[in-house]
Amino acid sequence: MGRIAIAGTPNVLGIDIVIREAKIVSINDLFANAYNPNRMPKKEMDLLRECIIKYGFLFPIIASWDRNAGKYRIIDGFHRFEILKQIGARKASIIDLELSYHDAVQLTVLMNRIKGMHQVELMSDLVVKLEDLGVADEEICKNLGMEPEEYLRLKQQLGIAHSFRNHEYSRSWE
Amino acid sequence: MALKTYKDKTVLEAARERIAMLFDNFEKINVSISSGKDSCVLYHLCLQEAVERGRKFTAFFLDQEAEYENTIIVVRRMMQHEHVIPMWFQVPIYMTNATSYSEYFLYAWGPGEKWIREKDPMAVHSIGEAYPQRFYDFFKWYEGKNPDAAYLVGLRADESLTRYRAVTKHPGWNGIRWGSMDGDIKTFYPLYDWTVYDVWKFIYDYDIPYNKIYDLMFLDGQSIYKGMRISNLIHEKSYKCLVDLPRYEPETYNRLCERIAGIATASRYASEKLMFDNKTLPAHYKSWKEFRDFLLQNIPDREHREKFARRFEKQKASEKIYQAQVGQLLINDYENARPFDTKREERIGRIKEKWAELL
Repeated sequence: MGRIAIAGTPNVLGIDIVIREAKIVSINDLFANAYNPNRMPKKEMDLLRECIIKYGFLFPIIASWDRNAGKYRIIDGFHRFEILKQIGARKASIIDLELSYHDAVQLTVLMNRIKGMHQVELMSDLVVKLEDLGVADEEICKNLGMEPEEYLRLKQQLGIAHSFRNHEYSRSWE
Repeated sequence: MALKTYKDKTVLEAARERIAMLFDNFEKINVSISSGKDSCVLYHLCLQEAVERGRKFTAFFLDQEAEYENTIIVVRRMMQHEHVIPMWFQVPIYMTNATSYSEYFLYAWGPGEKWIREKDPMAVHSIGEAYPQRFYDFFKWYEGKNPDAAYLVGLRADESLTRYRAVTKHPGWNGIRWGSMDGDIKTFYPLYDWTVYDVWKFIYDYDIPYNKIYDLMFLDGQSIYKGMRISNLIHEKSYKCLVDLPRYEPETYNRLCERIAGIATASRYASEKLMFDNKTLPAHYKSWKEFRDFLLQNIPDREHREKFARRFEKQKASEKIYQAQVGQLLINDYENARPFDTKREERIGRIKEKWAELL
């Protein structure tokens, strides 16, 4: 496991800040683990492919060498691995972590689970901001993977009551 | 109310007349507010009437602690008006927690507990006598204190026709059909004929400050016509809002997680089928009976286990019934707050028999 320390002194918790050395391996030397409960819907898979094509393969797959299989077992990055195969990539960049099997299983879950959530209100502000920056409606929808319905709702910042401004009061009944 | 007769006036005109009539006949007007859109409209109609007459009315809110911050913002505003007598109760009360098998109750505002927010200086913090520490009983107790008042509630028929029918089965004070009497407690529903469109139109027309959670639900793609309900956050009927809470009010979510067990689990899984829903039988079980027995045997609290068991004993032995029982077990509803129709199968059976005879 190649590690290059950059800040020589460990921080308060004793964690070294390091850059883990990535390596390029043949895509055939990787295989999916059998336990990952995470499934990415097709829509997000399409978005992932677009993202890789536009911004590149930004960070390596995390994997662990499996002696029995004679290959690297994926810990995190299964869906990116799938996209790489789809677009005909022959190689992938990986970080080889020497982890016990049970730690690898748990790290997979943590990588999936430790994520923030987009606050609805801030997401609405962000969409409006993108529009102000001059990005066209269709572009925003396409680039962020939003349906027009979602986009229009987020863009509507006048509040729910505004949508009913043209309603006429109904007849009373008894 | 067997027949719906339309009148030659709008729901707004009619509601104003109803409220004016109540102000004419009752010295004490009490409006129950929940921060929901309906009670918000009712409050503002009463406020307009009170201002015009130079009178005051009471706004009643039983604060269950596990509330949206945005709810509190709206309630605080409503309580502050000079024509309003604030009756905002922040007193110890037990709330059922539908999310946990280990903590059945949230003891809201319990002495010595770490509340999710500070009490408001305007609210009632303690009551100098014994009072019922459960939600519905508290309402009854509060109403009994002032039996000569008119109690106004923002119930609408298009939202819950069954509930509306149930409460108006017996005519209200003076034979009024949009009210009900329970002993000498007089309740009125001045908005009963309003639709959800009318409610939002009124809020728009009068630029009324409303609960911002509605805007977030709207931005978030929720249906305008159903499902947008605001109540406390952990009850049997509302815990599903925990799925959205981290994206609506992250800070409230964090505080709620620290306050009581089960929140994070409900937030992660309440929208998924298996954990809190009884629509699909998990693959590990051969029958609903087997799954029900498993859940029943694993309730940690003996008293609640027995309460469930006693109730289930009286019910018919059938897979449909077992499935319904699983539904209650999954949300820890040992008080039968969400009862199911145990006689339905029998009724359908009888109808089938009758048809068989006829054919």
